[in-house]
Amino acid sequence: MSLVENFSGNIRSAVVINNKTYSWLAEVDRASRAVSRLRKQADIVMTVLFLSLGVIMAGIFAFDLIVGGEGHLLMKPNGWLQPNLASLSFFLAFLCFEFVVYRMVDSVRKTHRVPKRVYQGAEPEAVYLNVGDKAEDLANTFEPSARKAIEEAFILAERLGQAEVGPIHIFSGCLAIDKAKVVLGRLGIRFDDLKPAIEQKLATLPSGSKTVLGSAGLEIFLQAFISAYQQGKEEVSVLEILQKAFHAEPLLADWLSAKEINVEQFDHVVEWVRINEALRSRYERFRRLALHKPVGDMNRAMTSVATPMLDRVSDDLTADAVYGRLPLLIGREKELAEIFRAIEGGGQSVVLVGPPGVGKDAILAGIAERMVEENVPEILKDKRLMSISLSTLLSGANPAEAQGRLTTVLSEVARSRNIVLVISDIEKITGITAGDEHTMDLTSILADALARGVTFLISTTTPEAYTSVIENSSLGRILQKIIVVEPDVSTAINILEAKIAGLENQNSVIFSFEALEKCVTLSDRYIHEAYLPAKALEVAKEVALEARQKKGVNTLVTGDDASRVVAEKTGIPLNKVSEDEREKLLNFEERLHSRVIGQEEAVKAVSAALRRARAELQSGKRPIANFLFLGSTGVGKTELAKAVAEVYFGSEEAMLRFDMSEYQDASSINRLIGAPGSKAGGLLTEAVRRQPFSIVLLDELEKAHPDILNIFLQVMDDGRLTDSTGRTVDFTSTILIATSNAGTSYIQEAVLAKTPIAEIKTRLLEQELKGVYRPEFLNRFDGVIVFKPLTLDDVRQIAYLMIKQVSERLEMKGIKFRAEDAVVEELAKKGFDPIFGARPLRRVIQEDVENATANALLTGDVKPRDTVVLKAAGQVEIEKAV
Amino acid sequence: MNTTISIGTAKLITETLWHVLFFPIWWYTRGLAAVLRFAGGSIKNQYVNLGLGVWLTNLFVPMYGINDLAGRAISFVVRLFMIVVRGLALLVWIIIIFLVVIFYLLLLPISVAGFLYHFFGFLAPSLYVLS
Repeated sequence: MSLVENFSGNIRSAVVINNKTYSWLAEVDRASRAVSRLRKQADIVMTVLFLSLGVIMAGIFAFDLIVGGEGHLLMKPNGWLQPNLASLSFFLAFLCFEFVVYRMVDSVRKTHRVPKRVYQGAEPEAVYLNVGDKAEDLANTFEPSARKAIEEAFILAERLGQAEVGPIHIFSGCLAIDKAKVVLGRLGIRFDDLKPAIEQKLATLPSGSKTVLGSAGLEIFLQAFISAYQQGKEEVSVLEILQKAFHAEPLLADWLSAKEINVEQFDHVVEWVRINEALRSRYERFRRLALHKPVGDMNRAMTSVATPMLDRVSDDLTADAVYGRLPLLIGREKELAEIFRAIEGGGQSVVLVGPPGVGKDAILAGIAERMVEENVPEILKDKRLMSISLSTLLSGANPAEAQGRLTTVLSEVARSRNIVLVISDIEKITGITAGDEHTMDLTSILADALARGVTFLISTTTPEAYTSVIENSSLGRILQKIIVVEPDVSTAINILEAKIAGLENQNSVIFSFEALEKCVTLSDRYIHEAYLPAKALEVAKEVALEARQKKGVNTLVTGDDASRVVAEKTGIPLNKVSEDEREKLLNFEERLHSRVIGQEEAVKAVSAALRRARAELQSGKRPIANFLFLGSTGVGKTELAKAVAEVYFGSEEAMLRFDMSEYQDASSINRLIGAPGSKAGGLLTEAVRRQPFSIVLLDELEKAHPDILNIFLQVMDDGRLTDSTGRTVDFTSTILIATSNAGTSYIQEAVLAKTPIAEIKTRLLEQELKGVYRPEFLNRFDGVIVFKPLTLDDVRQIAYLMIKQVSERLEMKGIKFRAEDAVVEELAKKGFDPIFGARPLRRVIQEDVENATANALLTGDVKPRDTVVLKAAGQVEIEKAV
Repeated sequence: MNTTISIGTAKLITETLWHVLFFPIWWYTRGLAAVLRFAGGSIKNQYVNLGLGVWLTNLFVPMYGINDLAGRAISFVVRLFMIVVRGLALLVWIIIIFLVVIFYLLLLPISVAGFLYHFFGFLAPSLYVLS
């Protein structure tokens, strides 16, 4: 909404809220500033004057009394009725002090506030003021530091002799205020970084003899006012002005984006500063209210009884909250409302069902906190929230004793009547049976007590435990299920923003927003075993600790620090592409060719896909790349996959190889993703879960059962797969390579007939592969790559490579090895087979080279440092070391 | 600019005079309102501190979970006693606060009257003698 369209002497933009018109009326020019400064000083002078006068008068009174001694008039009966100096100074002193009190109380009084938001009230409306129209002055609703920021903006514009105060002046003015500096600091930028850009922009602005508030500036103030109104704030703070000035000046967003900071991140940081302010005032309010909450056995109504057994086996959450030991709960209003509704509605017990780490315990802490404030339904007021520690309840006890203890606890609770029970991980109390003959589950004791309405229970469990243990037990019928879902990334960022201050204090470091955001987004994306916000918090803890150890105290934690920690945890390289790696990526083809001979097209396609992935141009919702390698056996399909594993993932080991010929029937799906009901998980899913940053090589894909292809269809599409235990495995850091011999005979024929490779590919996709793979499956591949049969020249080069490998193996024994060129030529010719590719060559090398060297080694003729020379017809000559 | 400053200075002087003249009016309007707010808050706070509301709502609830007839009777008596004691404490507090308010109300007229009485009785004759 643009509020300002026309801004001239006669018309001024304004905003109407609840039938009141607000506009910026205050003058902020040099003269007005001088007057307002003068006013402040005059006020101080007057106060000091009256205070001094009061003190002097009080002094005269005391002095006169002391000097007069016993004979003073005031010591005589009715002496005070006679006019005298002491009484005169006494009353005058009083008058002075009264005046000082009046000035001091009145000056801190807030005359104007941002109007309160009315439920279903009208939205703010933009209007124009004509001369003579009455309006409230917005300026009165701006807090002092915000006024100061605006003054700074005017001072800047005046100093440069500019006609109007615009967004850039206001933005700069705000940066004189600490709260706004914090925003920049959290973004990881310094004012000095922005300074040249701001100065450059300022130089382009028109100059003028008198500086006034420009229309864009007025718009910012009005928007800031509306923003404060919408947030329900009493005063407009510098944060609103900073935010609106930032939005009003597109150049600012451009500069920040050059520093890789976008508008949403800026807004998030402003929100962060607000959250911390809100938390502080909420904490102060909580401390005040906590003074009234008793922390012992006894409630305020003195109705409870001592509960020795309960006290022994449980933690008093309300007392912990009073002592400030519990964290403040962020959000979760919906869940709290649901819990209170269940308890208030029918005194029903609840079970919070959610995966570990999503914040079930935080909700319990939130309930304790609300109970301390007594901001709860009537039925929960003046009560204690006691969390039974199952380990203490069950420790050192056989099942019968445990039963006894639980019964005692429950009877104490029943008599005391001021206890609300909490049991975390309630599934742990099941399956404890006592004795051989009188077997009884603890659940039934608890269920019985709850059914009798002795107390309510707030318990927690995981979804798996709920389905397998609780749902169909006697407890399941009594406990109302309340689902606690994992917070989304944005909420998790908010939670972390609220929690990070503690970490910062502990480690004496400061988190930039980028670091905090990365803790959440990277853990969300790459850590799948745990849940938000716990896993993000866990990462943040490590990041803080590592930053302190590596960079020292009082340093800024950057996004790179966070990436590094997640990279170490997951084994996935997440940092920005470094110089070293840049070179590696740019020379990818060369590096692959050091292992793979020929196959230019294949090498190029694979390299291009990987460069795209590393520059983060891919969506992040699919594997890094999906390739289908087509070609006859022995042409280098598997070798290329291995080479990619070594070059991109750092080791040949980073390859998960599945021979699809082992998965020929439909039931073999169970081996890949786990059999239903089993907890072991599948071969594929477990392997990728443990090693998410790897190549998944599916050899001879055409042999797999069609149902299995459907599974990979999903992997290629979504980048994830759910195993039989319900765990989602992430494939977005893998490269999926399928090799296939389908259509080989056609490829060989076509290559012999010198058909262009593009034509071969088209024919393959359109005809030859049709019977083998469905078109939608083929479409999912980023590249279907046809491997050409090898030429004699290729085989010759491969022969050199293999000889080199033999030489490397012998090198380890301290023996040198060399083969004459003529021999290699001979081997290549012997090993060349247009149908089987390089396979026969390996056999030839084995027979002619390795056998001969092995014989030489076994006869004992070769000593370390000797050189074995391979000559024609498998002859070996040994050059002795000198 | 000079005009702004001279207008501003004139305004400033009027304002200062207004501050002085407004003083007694303030004392019995905004000042009084502030004192009454403080008094109300203080009494309410004391009420919560003494837990009187809690004791009143639980008048018939037995103490320490003793549910038999004797227990209930004793509880009732003890609670009644506690309510009376706490009620008295609250009453004392209310009286103190009330006195503070009265003191505030009288403070200004007494100061002014005392000042005028002694000023004209003591200082004026001395000045007259001096002249």
